[in-house]
Amino acid sequence: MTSSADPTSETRLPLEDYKRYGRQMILDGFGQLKLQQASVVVVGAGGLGCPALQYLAAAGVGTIGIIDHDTVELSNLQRQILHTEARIGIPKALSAAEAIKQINSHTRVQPVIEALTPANAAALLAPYDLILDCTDNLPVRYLLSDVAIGLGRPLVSGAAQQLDGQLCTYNLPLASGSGTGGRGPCFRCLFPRPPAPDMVGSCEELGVLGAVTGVIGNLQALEAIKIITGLHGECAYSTSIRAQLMTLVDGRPSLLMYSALAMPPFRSVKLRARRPTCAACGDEGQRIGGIEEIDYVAFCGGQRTDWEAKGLVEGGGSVTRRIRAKALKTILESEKSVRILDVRPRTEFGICHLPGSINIPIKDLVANPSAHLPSDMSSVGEAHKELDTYVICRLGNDSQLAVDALRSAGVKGNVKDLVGGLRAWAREVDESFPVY
Amino acid sequence: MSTISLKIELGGGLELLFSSQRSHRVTIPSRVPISESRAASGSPEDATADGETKPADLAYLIFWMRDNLLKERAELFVENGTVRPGVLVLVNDTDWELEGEGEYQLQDGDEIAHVISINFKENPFEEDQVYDAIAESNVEAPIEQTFLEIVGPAP
Ligand SMILES: [Zn+2]
Repeated sequence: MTSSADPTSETRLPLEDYKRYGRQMILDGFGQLKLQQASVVVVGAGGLGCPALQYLAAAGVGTIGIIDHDTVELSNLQRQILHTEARIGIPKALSAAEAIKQINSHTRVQPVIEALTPANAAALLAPYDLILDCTDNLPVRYLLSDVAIGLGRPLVSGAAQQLDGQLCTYNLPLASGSGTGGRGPCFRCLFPRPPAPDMVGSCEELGVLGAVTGVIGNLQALEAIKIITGLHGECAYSTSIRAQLMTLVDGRPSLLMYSALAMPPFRSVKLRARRPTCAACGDEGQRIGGIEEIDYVAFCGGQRTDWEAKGLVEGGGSVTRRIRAKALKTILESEKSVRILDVRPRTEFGICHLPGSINIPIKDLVANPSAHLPSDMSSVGEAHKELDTYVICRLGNDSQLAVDALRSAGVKGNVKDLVGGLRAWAREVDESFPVY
Repeated sequence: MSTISLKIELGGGLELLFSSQRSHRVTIPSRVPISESRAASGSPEDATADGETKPADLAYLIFWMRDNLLKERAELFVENGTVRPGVLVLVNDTDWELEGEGEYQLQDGDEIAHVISINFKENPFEEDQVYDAIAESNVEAPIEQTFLEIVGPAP
């Protein structure tokens, strides 16, 4: 007597996998074999990529690519949950590969320690059925969308910032006859033009909570599993994942927004159809513009400013406008009484500040500089009017804006700002001062 | 004069331009001068001042918000007569493109959301290598021209 199992079902799974994946295999419509045959590439092994990789590997996705050029840093561990203290300094792609190998030794893991570029993207992504965008980088986001269109792959895209996140699958296969050429919109259909980069210098970095990147990264893994196994819509059994991805019958373009503090925290938004005129995914003959010649960085407004380096530039000409950390320390240790104005946001001031410093967030200061002139900052009176003022911030950019604002409001006395901000203070003067 | 009440939701950091308040309940005139959406003063009296009016639409609301709700840096909200690129406008949880964009006629009780959907400031210093690599791999492309082609005709 031969095996009683249906030869068209899961018979090609190793015996132990029935035990390993049984709890998900008994879900209606779940195709474990499809997961095992599938290949998924995760671009970015950071806050979104780590949880996504973790669940993809645990669920039994057969082949997983990890593309990340970066190395693990201590400040990553708060949210990039596959990396460990012991792996600080090693490439994230290798660290994540090591971690998921420990979860599932059968996973074929393919780490790539390279930055994704227009030159290498198509070749690096082509071997995979599905692409996960776990980056936080606008030029790469456009690049991934364009390449996903070229390769005909769905792109499961996640984003998280502060306490909010978003999930969207671009180039999603739709029911045929929906009048949209069988595909949902691409990133470029939604955002034909990138936003102009902020013109005003900022030392403020937006935070993010690890549990929030975790929510979105998990959702990306879930979306990938839905698409691969056919849970996204009814789908005839197919031995070819890619053929199946072309024939999904369900799926309406939508974008999921998550906001941890909102009620309800999740919101699904109905999205526009694919644009026939889209430069990337538009119809032949109707497409406006092309994407072959694009310099993605320039398209997105040029290089991202390195605010830390910028805050260290002493500035041409007026040497008297700025002060270095060591010189400020000497002044603070002298008998001279001075005013220290810290223009960081209140929360950051609460984390750490120089003793005796006053906090006036840059936003408040710039909105109404004359309200914050030295004579108004303390009630000590006339004698303090001529006090020297030293303005400090995190990296030394906002403090320059503050000095400009105070001068234009007619401040009396000497006003200077700290080159490199508190980051430089910690490096050059006080190693025990917290760096965040 | 008759008015309509709307709930305005802001997200993705856009709320920072609006007193850091994510949710606003506003009342606007139900009919507005035809020219209003191009140069809105936002004052209801103007609507009756000279002649022709139209039902208040989304294009009007964007300028009304700029003139009545916005607290700083208008250029980060409005650009070239519409919302800045990167901001997704939603009418009752539906992409405004499906509702006629600026021409959508506002209904009493509508919930209008403006969300910055692309904004990537996390780890601004860690990604520089990616930028460098991308920049290096590109021969000089006619950016201006390509850009104009991509933008295409105004919707
Ligand atoms: Zn498109």
